[in-house]
Amino acid sequence: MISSDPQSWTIESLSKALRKKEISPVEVTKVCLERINSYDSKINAFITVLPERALKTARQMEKEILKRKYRGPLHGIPYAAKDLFFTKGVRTTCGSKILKEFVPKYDATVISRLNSAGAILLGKLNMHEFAYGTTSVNPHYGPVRNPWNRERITGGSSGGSAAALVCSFALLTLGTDTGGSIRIPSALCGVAGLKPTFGRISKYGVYPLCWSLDHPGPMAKRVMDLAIALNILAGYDPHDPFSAQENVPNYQRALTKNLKGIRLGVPKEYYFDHLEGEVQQAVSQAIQELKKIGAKILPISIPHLPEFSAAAFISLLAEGAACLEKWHKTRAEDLGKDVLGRLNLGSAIKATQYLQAQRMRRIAQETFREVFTKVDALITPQLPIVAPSIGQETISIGDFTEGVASALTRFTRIFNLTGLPTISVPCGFSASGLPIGLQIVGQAFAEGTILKVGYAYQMNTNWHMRRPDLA
Amino acid sequence: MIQMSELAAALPPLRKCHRKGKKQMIIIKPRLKEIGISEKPSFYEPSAEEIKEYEKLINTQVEKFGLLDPLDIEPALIFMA
Repeated sequence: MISSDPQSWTIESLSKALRKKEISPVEVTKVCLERINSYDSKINAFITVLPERALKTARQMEKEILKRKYRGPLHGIPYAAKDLFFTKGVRTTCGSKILKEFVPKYDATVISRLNSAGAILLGKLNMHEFAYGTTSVNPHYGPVRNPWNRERITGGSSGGSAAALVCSFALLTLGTDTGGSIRIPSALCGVAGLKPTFGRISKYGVYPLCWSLDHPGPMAKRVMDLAIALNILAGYDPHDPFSAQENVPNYQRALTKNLKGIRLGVPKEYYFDHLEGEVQQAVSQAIQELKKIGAKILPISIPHLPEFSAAAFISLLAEGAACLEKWHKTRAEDLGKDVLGRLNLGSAIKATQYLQAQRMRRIAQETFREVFTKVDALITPQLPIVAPSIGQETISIGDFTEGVASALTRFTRIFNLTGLPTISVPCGFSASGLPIGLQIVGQAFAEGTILKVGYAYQMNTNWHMRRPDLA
Repeated sequence: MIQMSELAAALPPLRKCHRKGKKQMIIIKPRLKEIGISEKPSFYEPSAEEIKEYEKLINTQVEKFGLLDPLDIEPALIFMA
């Protein structure tokens, strides 16, 4: 029987209960809407909630189940999308004042896929303006507040997508990741987030920030749920020129409780520099846990990581400035101060500097190709820190001080440059009760491997089962 | 601040079109929209001092990977990234 506590629901458990008619899609949707109604005023995860549309779809899904027409594991599962995924007839603000009234005429491919799979759209989620930032402190719609401590940020840019999961407002959310925007909020809020390989999931109908760095992906409470969602979301889309024509395996089938025969590389350089002590401790324990369940741990040296990180930064700034140039040039007064600053910075990059960064990108891709001949996946801390306070600008770790945005993207952005798949899973909590994340990186199109590592880890730990008190 | 009229004057094809009459202007306007230029009269530009500051910040990052030797990698691969 399905638990009466919605905080414990997962896509896996709920989809079994829906199929067995232990619970109906209408009941599930009502519970989610009630939770949004009760708690979102404190969290601010949603920009737009769609109660009537959601209940109408839920009734349709219920009718189909009663007629034994079952669409699959997402049939009747409530989901929500970051507010830059185009939704036909539903406003899509991109977290901006400029697109406050923008109503797309078509659905993004991923929205169409989820709807066809029977998932129920609850609404559109708050985010960093134009996905161009890492805090989700939005000047137009208010900050998304971290459910573990409302004075802290959720991280971004998919902050609403992470917060909605922790609060059990939805079972599945969609995010995008250009420099870490799925993994950062996943780590800071204690949920699972997948940035797939570049080209694995269609970008058609996703408002762009950087054409060569944007990755849409699913976020959920558990790794198993990411695998279920990826089965639906992955695959070639002729509407997206970047879409990859790669075979899509059944991701659920690859998941096992042990990691016998899996080689996990732990970088010797860069990823363990300037870490908060509690993060270092949690990640070290996670590595020991992975060893206990059968993985072979191999320290590995990866050259040029600071150079790759700088190339990722330059690429992001330049492409961001090109992508949003129209708004930068004509609506600067309607942009948040931080986004305007980044666009100014990106506009000052020379073509030669951008091209040298692209050459460095090629070297990064070759370097990691070599790394993955030696290991099956890499394990790193997801972030060097736990969630900073809303409005905090710098972080100090010992004598080392850096900007919050820099600290949050230091370990993430290299994998946007290389396009490699990575997931974030919770691996501990600080003494102050804030989640800590673990990053698992795979070779191109090896999402199955990183999901397997994440799943095995979750089957042997219980960090992912903790929930905050929202009262 | 660049005025739209100044921009139009600065582009030789546009000046020619002005002389040839309205018919061709109708063709030019959608082209400007296509390349993201709004019909709003002014453009935002940071000040020269601000741009200098931005360039300094960028250079601290670019210095990390610096100037790559043209022979470091196969030139044909450059645009495949």
